[in-house]
Amino acid sequence: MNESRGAILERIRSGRLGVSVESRPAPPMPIPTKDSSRLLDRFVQEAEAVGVIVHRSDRCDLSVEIVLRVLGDAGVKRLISWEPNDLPISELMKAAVDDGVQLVDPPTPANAETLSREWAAMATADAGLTGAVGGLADTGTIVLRSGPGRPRLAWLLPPLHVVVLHSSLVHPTLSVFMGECGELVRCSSHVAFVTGPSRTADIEQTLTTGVHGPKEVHILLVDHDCNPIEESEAAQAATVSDETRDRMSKNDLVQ
Amino acid sequence: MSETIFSAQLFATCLVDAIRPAAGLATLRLLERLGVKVIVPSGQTCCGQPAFNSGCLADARAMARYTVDLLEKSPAPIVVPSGSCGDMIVHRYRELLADELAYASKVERVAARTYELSQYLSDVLKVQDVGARCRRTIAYHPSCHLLRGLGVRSAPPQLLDSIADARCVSLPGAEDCCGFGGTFAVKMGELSSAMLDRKLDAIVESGADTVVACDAGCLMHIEGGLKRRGSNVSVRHLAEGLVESE
Amino acid sequence: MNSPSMSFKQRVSHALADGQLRIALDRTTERFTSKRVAGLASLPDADAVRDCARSIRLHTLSRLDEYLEQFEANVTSVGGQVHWASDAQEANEIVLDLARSRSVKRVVKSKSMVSEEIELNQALISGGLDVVESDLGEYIIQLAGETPSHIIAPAVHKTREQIGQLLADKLGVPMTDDPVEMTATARSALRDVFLQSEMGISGVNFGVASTGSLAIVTNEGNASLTVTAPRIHVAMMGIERVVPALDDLAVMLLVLARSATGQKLTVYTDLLTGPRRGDPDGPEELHVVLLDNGRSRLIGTEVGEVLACIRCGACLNACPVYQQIGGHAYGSVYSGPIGAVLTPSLDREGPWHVLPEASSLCGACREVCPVRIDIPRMLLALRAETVHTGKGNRWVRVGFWLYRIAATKPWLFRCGVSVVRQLTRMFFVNGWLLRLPAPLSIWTQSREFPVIASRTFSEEMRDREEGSGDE
Repeated sequence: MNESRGAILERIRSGRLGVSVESRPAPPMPIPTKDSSRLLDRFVQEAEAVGVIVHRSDRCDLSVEIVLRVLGDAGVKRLISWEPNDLPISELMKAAVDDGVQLVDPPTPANAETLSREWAAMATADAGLTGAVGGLADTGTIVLRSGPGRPRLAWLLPPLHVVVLHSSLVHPTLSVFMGECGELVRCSSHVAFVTGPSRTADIEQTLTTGVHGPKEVHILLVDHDCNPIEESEAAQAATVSDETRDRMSKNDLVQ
Repeated sequence: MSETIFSAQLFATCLVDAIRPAAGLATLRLLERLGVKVIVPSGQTCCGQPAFNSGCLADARAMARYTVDLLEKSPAPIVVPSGSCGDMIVHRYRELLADELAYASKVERVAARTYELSQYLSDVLKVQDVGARCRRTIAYHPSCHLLRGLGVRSAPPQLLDSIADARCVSLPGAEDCCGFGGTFAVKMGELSSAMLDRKLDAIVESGADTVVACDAGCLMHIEGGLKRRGSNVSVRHLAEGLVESE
Repeated sequence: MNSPSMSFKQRVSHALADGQLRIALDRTTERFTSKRVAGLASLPDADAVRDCARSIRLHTLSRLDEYLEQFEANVTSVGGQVHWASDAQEANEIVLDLARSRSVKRVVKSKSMVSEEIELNQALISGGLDVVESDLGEYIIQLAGETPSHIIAPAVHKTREQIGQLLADKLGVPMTDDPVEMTATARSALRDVFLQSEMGISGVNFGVASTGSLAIVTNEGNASLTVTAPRIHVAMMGIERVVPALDDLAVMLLVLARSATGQKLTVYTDLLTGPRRGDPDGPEELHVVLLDNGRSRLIGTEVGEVLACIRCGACLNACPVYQQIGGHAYGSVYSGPIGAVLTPSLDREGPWHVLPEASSLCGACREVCPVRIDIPRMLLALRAETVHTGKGNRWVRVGFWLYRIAATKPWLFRCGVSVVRQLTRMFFVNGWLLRLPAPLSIWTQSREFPVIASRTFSEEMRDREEGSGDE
């Protein structure tokens, strides 16, 4: 393996001699609009264009009511939810449970013998509830990050995905967001940019939704401060860094 | 027009010479009618494109050197009634003769003053209307190397639009290749025919009675296909279309 | 169905005679092409973004060794492991060893051209593993026992009726031609596969050197599930797929989906940085297999630019040859114009020198390429190499040698034209030849051939000059 590494790098270097090193250009950056209401309108418009249902709320109690109504309308009985602190509205999870919804947790690797049964239980979840760390206005995209208390399967596995996004986190474009998200990427194992429901056109280019991931995606865009997300994010980032170190030392032992 | 202020060299190309001399004569007449003093350098043969496209670089180089030597004698602009040969001289000669120091400046000079016919009419002579007249329904097929090699998109249809009494119709899938591709038409004959079929269907669908292009290769291909189908759609080089005056 | 033992021309004949295939190709390539145009129109300055994307790719290739080392260091620092593979065999062995040493039995895969290139599935199946493709198109062709025919739409060659029949035969579900029903069938069949596989194998769209992240895009979300549910994630990545940093990645993503499907962004764009770290789910192990397989050798050569390709498939849809014959006729994993360059470049010993001939050099591929790869120029370079190494048709070479001698001596050229004129004038009907002898007979199978003019242009000019001389 090391032999191949050396040989490959050597071949690249010997070919490089003939090539001039082109300097790397600055990516074209669109001028972000300062007008936040236009930004949000654009976000809603683009999200709806890719088949997302967007709800807006400026009050905490209204937000809870909307989420319960979406879950109720879809007849959701089993829910994969992020931990209260990872949702912009911390009482959402409790409200859903009070409403009679049952929570499903991802299996823990520790009990391998019951693993497949637990997976099967996950697969029966009707909905996932998450909180976005960002929105992209020009594509209608939501940005999600995995971490403790934030299972990825919540946005991937069930047929319905409800995601709460605080309006202050909407960025104009992917380029602007990427320019600022280096730290976020470094400390999260999975950052997902999700633009609409899961879809395929593999059969004669006929668009069909819900092929593997959710068939329906609801975004709740909130303006109010129930659980200021910036603070909880900062706290999470710190915890994640500690756990990264733990994780890496464990990996060293495994290998 | 009596006063001659422009002069040009006409490089007719091998296909026009042997198979479609009418296009060469029409180009000559058209330019002279517009007041251009035209020189036709004698001894002109082939720009070397067929050999170049077949990977026979040594042969292509020999023909390129020959053509460059022939055309660089006069400082007059060079007019080529063919998009692909024009592209060959303007773009490909540079890479083909890149290693030959003796030719570097000659190639630059020749390439810089070579124009495809419609390009010369619109960019140098700044002509939009050549005063042609004919009662035809015309569909224009943009040949690939003119369109994507030389980047000439609007000049030929604009010139055709200016023909009095003619009606220009749009050709479905106009920018799709007709399948000629030089030796491709024989090396990959079946594929080439399938591509031609699609082009011929589009011509029929357009309702045109005349199809016009700026490349003798594509014209030969399309005309050969139309003849085989027994179609009476006529095929004209741009120059032939522009000299008509009923 | 094409078989590998056929020659390229036989496969072309087969494809041209396949009515179903041509219907499927027509429906798909047209739609892709118009969507691409609309997708790029949604960028304020698409040309500037494409220029920028191109410079990023060329810059990265010009310092590929440094970026690969940086990428490796960062993948390692977040707990992932990088494996280097010189060729297909080594890559397959790496994956097989990983599977064996971790007692893996079931593998779920998301679409990866690299794994098609090295025939990873066959290697894993011979190693006793269950391998299931999760991309709907790949799943369909895996059930059919076929290979992909398009970079981003693997089952483009099949009609809905054929797919409905296939699912009915293989899964025992009722026959339908409704894509919605067929998709639901696949969803439920694949659900268990995701959740019960111990290893997920994905491709990589881009590797980010500055963070060690893998960017993987799908619309279905199958790659997201492939890299989330199983315990082990193995990412198969060509060494050329690295980009320097996240802002470069953003530029590439701006053009990738737009060029491929016309979307502004793919539904799922996943950035994976190391295995799970205290997360409730996600892989416990992440392995990146960096595959060379002939790529490093291309750097600094005339076809080196082909490594800038981002596998969007736009050149396939735009190509009038691909539109006629589809992907299988090429006989190689990579088809269309980019395949005609990539295949003979990566596998120099293979029987591929015919592929660069399968182009009329119309340039439609260059026009649509998001990173402006000059595919026709590289096809020409490969044709020249074929002639140079003596692999080409000898008669073509002799023919052009003779032509060149004539074309550089005007008197000989004139004589040549006269001789051919005499020959053609012996057989013409109304100025056209209805039949030519082999090998030119292929022309007259579908087209007539013009005879040499009774007076050539140069003869007319000579007359004119003599005429004016008399005045």
